[in-house]
Amino acid sequence: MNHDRIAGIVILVFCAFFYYQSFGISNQNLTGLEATFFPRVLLVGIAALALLLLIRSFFIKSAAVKKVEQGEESGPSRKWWKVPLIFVLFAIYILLIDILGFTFSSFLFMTIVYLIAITATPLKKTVKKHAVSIGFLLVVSITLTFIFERFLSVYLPKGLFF
Amino acid sequence: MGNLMMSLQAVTQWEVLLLMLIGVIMGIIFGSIPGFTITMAVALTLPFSFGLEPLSGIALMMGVWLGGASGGLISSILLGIPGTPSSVATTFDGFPMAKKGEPGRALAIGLWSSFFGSLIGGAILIIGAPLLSQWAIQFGPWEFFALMVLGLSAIASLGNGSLIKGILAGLLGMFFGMFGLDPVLGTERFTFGAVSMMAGFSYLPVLIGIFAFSQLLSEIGKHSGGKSEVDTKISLSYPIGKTLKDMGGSFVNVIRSSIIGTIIGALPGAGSSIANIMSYDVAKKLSKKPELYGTGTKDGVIAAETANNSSEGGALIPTLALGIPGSAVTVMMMGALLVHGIQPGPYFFVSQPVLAYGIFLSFFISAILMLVVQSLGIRLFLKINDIPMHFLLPVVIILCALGSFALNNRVFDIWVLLLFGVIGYLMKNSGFSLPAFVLGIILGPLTEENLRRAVATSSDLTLFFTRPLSGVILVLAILSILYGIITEIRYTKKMKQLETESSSDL
Repeated sequence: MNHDRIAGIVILVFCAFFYYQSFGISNQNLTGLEATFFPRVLLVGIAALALLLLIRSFFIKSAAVKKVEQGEESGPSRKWWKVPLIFVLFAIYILLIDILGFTFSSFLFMTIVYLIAITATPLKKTVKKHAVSIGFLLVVSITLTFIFERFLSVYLPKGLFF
Repeated sequence: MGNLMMSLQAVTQWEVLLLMLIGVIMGIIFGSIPGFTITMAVALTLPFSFGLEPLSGIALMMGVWLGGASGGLISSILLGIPGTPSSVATTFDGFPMAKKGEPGRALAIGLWSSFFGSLIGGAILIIGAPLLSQWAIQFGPWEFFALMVLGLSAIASLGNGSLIKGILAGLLGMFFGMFGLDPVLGTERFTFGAVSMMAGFSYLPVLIGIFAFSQLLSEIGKHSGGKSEVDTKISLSYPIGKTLKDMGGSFVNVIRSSIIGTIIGALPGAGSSIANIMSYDVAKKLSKKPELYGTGTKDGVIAAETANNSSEGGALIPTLALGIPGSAVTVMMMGALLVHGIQPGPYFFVSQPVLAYGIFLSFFISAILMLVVQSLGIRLFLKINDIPMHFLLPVVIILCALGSFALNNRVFDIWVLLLFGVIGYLMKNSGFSLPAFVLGIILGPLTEENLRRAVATSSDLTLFFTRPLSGVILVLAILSILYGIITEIRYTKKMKQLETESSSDL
């Protein structure tokens, strides 16, 4: 299934869900137009265009599909999982901020992302070089905490440790 | 005159000058790294401006913007890779010129062209913005609604080659702007009972999520930097006298390209990347020796670089005078103003003249700083290209999180960042326009507010067309949509044609 078709379906489901939700908005018709008017107009417009995109996807091949057919791309990349993984790790990081504190959880997150990102490159690093790199990330997380708390008056979550 | 002097006094304080200098350096660094954009630079620097006075904060952002606008020329000229989309045409002649053994001359001409472009664009901004706002001060809700529609018409030009997806992205953005309390009666909409959702989605985590977080993740696995085919051991310096002589010989080109850049920048949806290409194209067509374009002629570099920098001044005209940003980076700049409690629009020049003049002055001072910093640090900025992505990526993601948190000191905004990071990533990979989406988020609530105010004042809907100013603006919006569609088609064709010509000439 090409991107346009998936996008069309997802957007239509999105519109249906929020159109249903719009019935929960209390309407006080004091100003001529109710609070639901504009969101509903937008949802109808979005749904109409999503439908058009969906219909079009059956007749016009997207650039990505054409590329695969012409042999320019040999299917999805083997590294595709890295981005969803980083999103999941980021969600865990947000949950950990209040528990471990900003500095420590940021250092942990940066280290993991660094290790994921480096496997996407052909570079080979020694253990010593990795240790230096991770040390650098520790310095970054401490420096950022210092700058934001000391100079910008942003008080970051402390958590159990810092 | 008194306001101007007060602004000058405020902008020339050493703390503000230092902030502008830092901003320019940050902008150039981001502009130098292929894959990083000026918008991303502005988004990531914004949190550092929270604790500052509005003028200091805006001066910092202005430095980042102008620095970023010129930062792309280093990698364009020395690596043949546009550092930012707005320096695509710079590679056409800048890179061949550098390969021919004149990297210093190409960089010097590019740099001074950026400087003159900024000055001319800035001058037109100073004259144009107050005039436009004086005209707009007589607006009622009908005219403001029409104005928002004119701003939203930019969506037609921001579709990345697909009109349906461009409009869809814009409408989706407008819908996400509907969350929270409605702007007229304060009715709760789509809050799902959460107190944090009452105020809707804050602009900053949304902007950082869309422009920085999602785009960063697209860079996983890519190497920043690249091998230069240019012998960088050759001196990269070039005498100022000779550069100015080169520029003087192309005086008409400098003025023409700056004016083209400013006009294109002021149009909704047409940003510096279009200005860069269009100006190059016009210069080539009007040249007595068009065959030299693409082989390393100074006029190609001048046309491309003056236009992309002057377009920044042009883009600020509708943003400051009318409150309608027309491009991704002006959306970010408007977001920056809003975060600092400044509402751009017709009343901005009347209510906050010191700040308005301060913005103008910081534009010029940033241009001067950009020239000085670039002249002194070209070799250093070239080295930044070598910083590996596996270092940049985790650090910049944490900066995104910090920036979002710092806005209201609440973790909820980091969740918003994640949500819009995911949305932005999915939209980008499916070919939806991110600038159109963000334009919708910013202008959607304003459009609704003015529509409802107008209807509350009078239920006669024909007033939108029969009130002269409102009618004219709506006609302009229709013309802008048509213009956007035509320009988008032409731009895509021209890009392909110029790239083919340039590569066949090399």
